[in-house]
Amino acid sequence: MADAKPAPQLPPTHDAHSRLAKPLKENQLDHDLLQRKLGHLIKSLETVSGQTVMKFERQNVRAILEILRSDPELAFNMPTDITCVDNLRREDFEPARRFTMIYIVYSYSHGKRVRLEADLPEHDPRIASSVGIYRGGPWIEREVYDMFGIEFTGHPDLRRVLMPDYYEHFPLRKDYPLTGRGERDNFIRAEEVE
Amino acid sequence: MGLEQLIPSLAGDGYFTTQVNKLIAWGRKNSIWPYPFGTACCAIEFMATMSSRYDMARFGAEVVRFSPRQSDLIVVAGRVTLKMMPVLSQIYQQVAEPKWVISMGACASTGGVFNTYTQIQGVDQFIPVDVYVPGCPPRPESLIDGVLQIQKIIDGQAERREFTRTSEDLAAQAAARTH
Repeated sequence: MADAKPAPQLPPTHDAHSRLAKPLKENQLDHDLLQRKLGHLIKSLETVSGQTVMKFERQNVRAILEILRSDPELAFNMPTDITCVDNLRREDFEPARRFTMIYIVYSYSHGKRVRLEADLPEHDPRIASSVGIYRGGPWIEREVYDMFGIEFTGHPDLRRVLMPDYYEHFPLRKDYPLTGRGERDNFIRAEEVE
Repeated sequence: MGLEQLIPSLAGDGYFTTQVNKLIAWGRKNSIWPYPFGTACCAIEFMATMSSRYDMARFGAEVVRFSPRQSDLIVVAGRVTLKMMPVLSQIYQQVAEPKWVISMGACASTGGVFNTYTQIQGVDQFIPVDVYVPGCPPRPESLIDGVLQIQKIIDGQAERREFTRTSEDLAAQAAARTH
């Protein structure tokens, strides 16, 4: 019997952890620049999991997005996503910050990405629409309205986009049951229709 | 069609006696025109079943119609959602009698793995289903077997079922879900 072959050594790139530990180039954002341009509008600026995150009060959303998009040194011209998180099931939940609006914007000219977060209270989930700043914004906001019931003030056409118009609930809220409230069982049988 | 072997008198005198119902059923079962209500991956298997390798034409059901007015078999192939169920009901009503329905695959029959607020947990709650084809998705052989079952129903060899889920069943299901 021939000698046992030594186990093949995997090249270092196969180690997923070492690859994840490297900071992505696009996330090396100049925090001083952001602080200079937006410091008077934001509450905090930090790096979370390699991403730049800015927290702000909801009344400043249009001013912040306008500067991010139109300033040539920033030029965040792509609204990658506008979404929302329901914090109802979190351990540190409080009604004043039931929802967290999240804006992820990307700069094609600089190859940078930044995330913006604003808390919304339970009794009044309202925030200004990004209409007129990002052309794709109102479409994404319709989906957020459809799923979470966030009201975007100034939105030109705030209707449901995925769920049917007669639907009464906001299904991605955490107090809405996964299997719904009987909507899927309440159709008329085809043979009973005249 | 090999009728001479089945009916010996055809080979001899050239005529035979039968019942009009049987003759019509024989014609219907060998010329089913399916309407594919394809909403998901089951529709891909439906295409495979129709094309040359499995060749549904061997059973006379190769004329796929995309108008419910021209077809007599609905194949519900895929997930049906809250928004799609009224569409399916209307299409079912638009198919002229006589009509048959195949519920193809796990999602159309039971909702499959999609036990969510927007997913219909089996189209047989709202339209009558004659044959359920199991699988996720079913292999073409399974769908062919389903069509053969429809043929048996058409010529009276198999019992035709109406709504298989009664209102009591539905109430029990709804009660089980309220946990």
